[in-house]
Amino acid sequence: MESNQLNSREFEEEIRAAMSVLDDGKVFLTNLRPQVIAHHAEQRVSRLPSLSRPFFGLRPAWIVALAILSLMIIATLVIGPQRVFAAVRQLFGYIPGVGIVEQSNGIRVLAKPVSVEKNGITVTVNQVVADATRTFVAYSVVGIPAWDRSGFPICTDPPSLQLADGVILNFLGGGGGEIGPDKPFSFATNYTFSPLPADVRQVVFLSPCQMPAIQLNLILASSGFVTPAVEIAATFESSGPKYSTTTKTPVSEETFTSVPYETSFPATPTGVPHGSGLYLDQVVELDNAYILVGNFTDAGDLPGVLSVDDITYPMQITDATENSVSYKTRNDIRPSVEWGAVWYWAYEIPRPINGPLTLTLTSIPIHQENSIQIPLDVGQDPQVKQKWELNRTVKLGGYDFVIDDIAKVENGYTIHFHTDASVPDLVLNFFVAGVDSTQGGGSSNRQPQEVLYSETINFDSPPTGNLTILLTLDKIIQLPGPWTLTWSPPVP
Amino acid sequence: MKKSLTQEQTPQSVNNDQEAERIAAAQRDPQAFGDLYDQYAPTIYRYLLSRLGNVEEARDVTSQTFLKAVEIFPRYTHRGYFSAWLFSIARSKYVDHVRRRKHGVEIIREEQVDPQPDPLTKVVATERMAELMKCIRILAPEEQELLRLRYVADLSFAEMADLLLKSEGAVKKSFYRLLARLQSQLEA
Repeated sequence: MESNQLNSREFEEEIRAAMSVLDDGKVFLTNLRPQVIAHHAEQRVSRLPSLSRPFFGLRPAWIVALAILSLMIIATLVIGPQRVFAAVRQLFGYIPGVGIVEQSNGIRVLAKPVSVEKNGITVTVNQVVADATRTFVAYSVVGIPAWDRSGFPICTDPPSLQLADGVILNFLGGGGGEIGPDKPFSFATNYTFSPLPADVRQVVFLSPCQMPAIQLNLILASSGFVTPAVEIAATFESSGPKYSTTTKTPVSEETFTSVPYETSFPATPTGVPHGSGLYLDQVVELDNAYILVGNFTDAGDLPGVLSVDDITYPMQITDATENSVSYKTRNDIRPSVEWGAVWYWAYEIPRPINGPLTLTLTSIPIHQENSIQIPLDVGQDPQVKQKWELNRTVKLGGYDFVIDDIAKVENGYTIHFHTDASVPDLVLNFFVAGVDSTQGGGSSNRQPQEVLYSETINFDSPPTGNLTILLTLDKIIQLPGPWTLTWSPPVP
Repeated sequence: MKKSLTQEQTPQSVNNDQEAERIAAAQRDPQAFGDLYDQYAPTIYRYLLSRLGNVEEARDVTSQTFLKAVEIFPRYTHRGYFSAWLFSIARSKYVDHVRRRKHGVEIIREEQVDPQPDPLTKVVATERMAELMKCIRILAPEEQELLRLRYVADLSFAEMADLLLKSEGAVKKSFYRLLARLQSQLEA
C-alpha cells in the first residue's frame, strides 16, 4: 500500500514536471502589479463622484478649464482679445512627460532630487510638479536585493503623499514602468495625486517598503521651466457612415426569435451631436507643434458596442494635399479611459502644418452580439439527469450551431451544442431569461469533425416550468468606416 | 521544500474566513488588493502560459484578467473560492483571446500547443518524460485542463470543483481515473 502511494506521488511529480512552464513571469508580474492596483484605485475614484468629481461630476482639470474659459470670456469683453491671448499663454503650459499644467497658482516643483537609503535600497524622488489640478511625482528605486516572500520585489507598491497635518492626498493614477531583470532590481515610475493646497511648500513622501519618509521641499518653478502653451478653439468637422442598431440576425427556425441588440448611451464628457464618430476635445498650441486631443465616441448608434481595449486604432493623418503627416502619440495628455465606450487619443503634430488636417479611421472594432431564444417547458419537477433533446440548427453570427440538448444538473441546467470543425472556437453565453444565475461555466472539446460545447448555469433555486433559454454570441468585428475629422490650424 | 502532492490543502487554499477578510479589505482599499494579486498572479500567469504556450500572449491575457478583475471586483460576493472566481475570469479572457486571435491568425489548437515554450532548455528530458508529455498532449482538452488546474494552477480539488461547477467528489474521481489511465498508458 505504502509502495503504491509512493509510486502515485512520484507519478504526480512527473506529471507536474511535464506540465511545468519555464517562465515564472516574475518581472512581468512585478511590473503589472502597480498598474493593477492603480486601475483598481481609478475604478474606485470613478465610482466616488462626491470625492473625485465635486462639480457636476467633472474632473478637476475640466473644472479649472471651465473656470478659465469663463474668465477669458469676461476678460475678452473688457480688455480685448490680444491681451487675453497673451495672458492665457502665460496661464497654460506643457511639460513633456508630465502633460498640460495650469499656472494660475504657479507651478511648484521639487527643489532638487532627494534620496533616502536603507539596507542597500535607495529611493529617489526625481521630480514633483504641483499645479492647481494635480500633483505629479516621478521617482525611482534601485538596489532592491530580493523578492519578498510573495515572490515580488519589495518597494513596488504605490507611495503616498502626506501633508504636515497628516492628510494623505488622494491617489489619482499612474504607475507602470519597467523593472530590470537583474539583481539588484530597480525601476522608475510616476504617480499622480490630488492637488496640493495653494500655500503648501512641503510634503512627505511615504515609501511603501518601510523606508524612511522623505521630506520634499518645493519651490516655485523658474521661468522657462514650462513650455508655453495655449489652448485654442477645437473646432472641427466630423463625418462617418450611418448604421442601423437593430440589424436582426436571421434564424433558421420560426420558433427561435432574434433579440435586437440594445445599447446604452455612454456618459461622455462632451456632447455627441454627430452620433458615433471622431470628436476633437482640445487643441494645444506649442511654439513648434500642435497637440490634438480627442476621442472616438460610441453614441449608441452603432450595431454593437465599441471595443475600447481590443485594438490599436490605426489613425491616418493627412494634410491639405492628402500627404501623410507624421505625428507622435502623447500619452501624457491623453485622458485615461473612464467614460465607457469612448476611446481617447492625443497626437502631437509638428508645425508648420499645411491645413486642413484630416484624421481618418478606416474601421473600428465593435462587439457584435447575436442572440436566440429557445422556449422550453421543463415541467414543475425536473429531475437531475433529465434531458430535453432539441437537435436544432441555429445560425448565430454567421455560424451554424447545432443545439443538441438541455439537461438538468444538480443546481441548474447544462446545454450541449456543437459546431462544424471549420468554425472557430466561440463562446456562447447561456442564460434563462428573467432568472439570475449564481454561477456559470463551460468547456469545449475540439474533435476532428466537430467542436463539442457544454455550458452550465447554476442557480440558488433552479427555475422550473416554462423557461426561455437565451443564447448569445459575442464577437469582435471590424466595422468599416471611414470616420473622419477635419481640423484647420489657426491662420497666423 | 517539496510539496506533498496528496495533501488537499494547497498554498492557494487558505482559510476561507481569513480570505473573506482580505477580500473585504481589498474592496475598501486598492492597496490591499496587492496581497490578493501577490497570491494569485503567479499561478494565473503560469496557467495562461500553459494554455497559450506563448509568453507574450500569456502576459497580455494575464493583464486583461487582472484589469477585468479589479473592474468587477466591487460586485464580487465571497461565497466560494476567490481563486475559482479569478480563474473563471482567466478562462473567459483566454477564450476571448483565442477568439480574437482567430480573426487575424490561425488558431493554435490545444493539442498543438507545446506547454514547454523552450523544450531545448529543459534540464532533463528523459525518454519517459517525453512519453508522458506526449500522452498528456493527446488528452482531451478538458482532461488537460484538469491536470493544468491541479499541477500548474495549484488549485485544490474544492477550488477546482467550484470553478468547474462540479462536486468535489466528481472532480476527484475524474482526476484520479485520469491519472490511473495515464499511468497505465505510460507503463504499457
